Amino acid sequence: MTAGRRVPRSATLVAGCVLAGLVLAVAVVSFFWLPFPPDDTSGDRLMPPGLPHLIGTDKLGRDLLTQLMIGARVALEAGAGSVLIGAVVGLAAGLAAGFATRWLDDTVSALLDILIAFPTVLLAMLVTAARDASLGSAVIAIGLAMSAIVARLTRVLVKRVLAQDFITASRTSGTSWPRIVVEHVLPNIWPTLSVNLALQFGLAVLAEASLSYLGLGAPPPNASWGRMLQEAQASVFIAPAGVIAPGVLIVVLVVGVNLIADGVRDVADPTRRRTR
Amino acid sequence: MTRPIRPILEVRGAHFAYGRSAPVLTDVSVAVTPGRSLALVGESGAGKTTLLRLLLGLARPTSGQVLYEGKELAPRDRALMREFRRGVQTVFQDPYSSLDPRQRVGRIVSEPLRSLGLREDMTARVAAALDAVGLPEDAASRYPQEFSGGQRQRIAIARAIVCEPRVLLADEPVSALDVSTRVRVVDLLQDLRETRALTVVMVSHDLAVVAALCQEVAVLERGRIVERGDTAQVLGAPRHPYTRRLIDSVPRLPPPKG
Amino acid sequence: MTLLTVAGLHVRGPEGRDLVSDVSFTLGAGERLGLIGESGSGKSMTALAITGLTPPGLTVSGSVVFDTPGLDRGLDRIEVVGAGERRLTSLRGRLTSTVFQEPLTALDPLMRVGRQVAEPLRRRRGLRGRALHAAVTAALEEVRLADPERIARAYPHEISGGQRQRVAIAMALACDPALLIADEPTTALDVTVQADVLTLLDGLVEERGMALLFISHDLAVVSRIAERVIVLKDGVAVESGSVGEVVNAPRHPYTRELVGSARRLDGALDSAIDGAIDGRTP
Repeated sequence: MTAGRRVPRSATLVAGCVLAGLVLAVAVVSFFWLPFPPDDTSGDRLMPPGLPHLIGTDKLGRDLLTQLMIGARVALEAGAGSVLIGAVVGLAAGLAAGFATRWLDDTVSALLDILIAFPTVLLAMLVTAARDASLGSAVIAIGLAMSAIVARLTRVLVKRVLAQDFITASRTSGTSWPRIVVEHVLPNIWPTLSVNLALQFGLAVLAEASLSYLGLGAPPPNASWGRMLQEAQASVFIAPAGVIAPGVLIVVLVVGVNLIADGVRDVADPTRRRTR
Repeated sequence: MTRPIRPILEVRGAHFAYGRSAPVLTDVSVAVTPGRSLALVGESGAGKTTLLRLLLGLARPTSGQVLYEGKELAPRDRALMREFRRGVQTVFQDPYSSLDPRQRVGRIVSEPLRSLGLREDMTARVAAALDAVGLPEDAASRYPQEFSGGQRQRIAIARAIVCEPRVLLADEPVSALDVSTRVRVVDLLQDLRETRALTVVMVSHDLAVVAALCQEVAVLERGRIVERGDTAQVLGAPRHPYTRRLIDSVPRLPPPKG
Repeated sequence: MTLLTVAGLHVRGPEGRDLVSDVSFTLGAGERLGLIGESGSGKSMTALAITGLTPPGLTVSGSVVFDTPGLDRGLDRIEVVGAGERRLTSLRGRLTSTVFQEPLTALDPLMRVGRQVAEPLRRRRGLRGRALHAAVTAALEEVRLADPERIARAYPHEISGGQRQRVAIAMALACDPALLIADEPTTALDVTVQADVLTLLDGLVEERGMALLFISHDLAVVSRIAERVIVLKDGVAVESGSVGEVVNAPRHPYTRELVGSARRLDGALDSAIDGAIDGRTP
């Protein structure tokens, strides 16, 4: 048994942090400095990379780097917002189903299955119809779709923990159910759940890009990588930078987040580490 | 058999069934008198564990009563339940599933104190409990994964005795352990029984362990108590054929020569 | 006649630690040997090395030789250590078969018991159709399962632990192995069921003249079924001899502790029983 290593190293975690950190840094910088104002259409249209437009311009003559930087902000907001909604709603529903017995459990499980089978795009259209086409609507739709997946995972994890003897021991010690949840259930489901949430973050970024591509995301002038792709699509052979740049950034962020998820799994779980 | 001493813990005429399936327990009555450790003996599926769950207040009988100090257990009666939880603690069979892998031993052992609101001298009490089960002082700051099966069972016993209960309900407490570890844990339980005035109620199918620890035996077969009495009487002169078979089945070493 | 010769067997873990070190013994045809040790003593690893089933990442050295004239294309001696996987697969079942501790995980939960027993019978004896069905019924009857037809139609979770272990034994016997390895076969069972299964194994090994390697942490159980025992501690064979010798005159301190523990438990039971006969209470 090697309990000694206090700071476990993980190459995947480091690589993931570098990739995702890059995008985060760009997003942070965008709040303080942008090469051009976002709605500045003074540049020539579809310019190739060069000076003063480092990555070129789009079909309206806007600076692509500026758009990409704002897009990083939007992508991270979308990921974080969706995960927040997905985690809160999913955890609550999953805990309820995990503790429930028979008919209540069956009902919640059936509802979750329906929600999971429901296409995110359709859900996004419904939310957009009910509210408006905005980043908020997209995030709500993605978050709700995610919460069903998180809830189903939580339910299984909770049931598994509840079957352990230490829960019974806790009950016979007179510990109340809410405290059992805080002291035993959450810490024991967290390693698996956090990895899943990190993966969901990446999926949420992709989902937001898809929704924006379809026009269901943030409306102009808020740049989103998905909408940039859609707008540059027609001129892909004349000005490939307009497609390549947001595409690469989406991949960098999603791969980075997934690597973090893998790394967290290796590092976070002490039981896993020792029995390897 | 009527005894002048009032039982601490008692099950009276209990029936138990899950839903509409066949009953797990049929008209079971058991009384635990102070100082008279009791073994519940029987095969898997005989209803031992269900009976233990009734005695622990984790399940309620379909009909019949469970009494602590002569008072019927009622989940609403907070004062009684708190007293009951403090007085009756438990040890499980599987020392791997009974300790939360994400908590340090000190926190695991102190859980009953925290839950029962006995926060005075908590660290000292935990240290005393760990000492009583023969674990080193620094065990409190380590995780259960760092201990062997026998040591983990000691940690579980420390948790069970930290609030100084009167009854210890143990579900096959040594059957998952190697033989020499088993003897040491039996010694420990014997020792605690005497030094802490604990009454042990043990579910087991190991008659040797039963003989070492318990003064009384109740034999369960298919949800009914088929024989009950003093350990020596039940093991020495079994009346029920099932009890006899149980005794004959105990694996023994060949008798020593000379 | 010697069936199995294990000489200087080492099993080394991935970190270079010896899980089994320098274990040597011989086993005659029809002989019964007990392997005793606590969890982690290397007893199961020794059995895996004998069957050539050590998990990947472990290094096995030394020699494990079976003397089985006529079994393998005229070859009289079969060395397991270093033998190719394909060759071992073709020999497995006829040389050795293993019964494990937990019959629920040893059986496929999604396959009816009858089909699982039929599988080795079909493979080894080439039986089909009605003959196969009859052989399955006979195999289940041989392990004293009442109502073999019903058991054959059941799924593993629908029968009791003792019945499952009998099915596992039937499967192990189906290929008529020269050596039956029983790895803690009764540890998960109730005492009365354990006694029945031990009696069954005893009889079957006797009838078929099979050799038996019985692995257990329980000295009392081993002494019930084996003639000779080897005591393993931390991968080293610290003592070996006939059951009588080891139980009555243990030499190694560890064996003494094992015998002492078992005797103490026996003694507690005896004094309880005697106490009643003498009319005293302990």
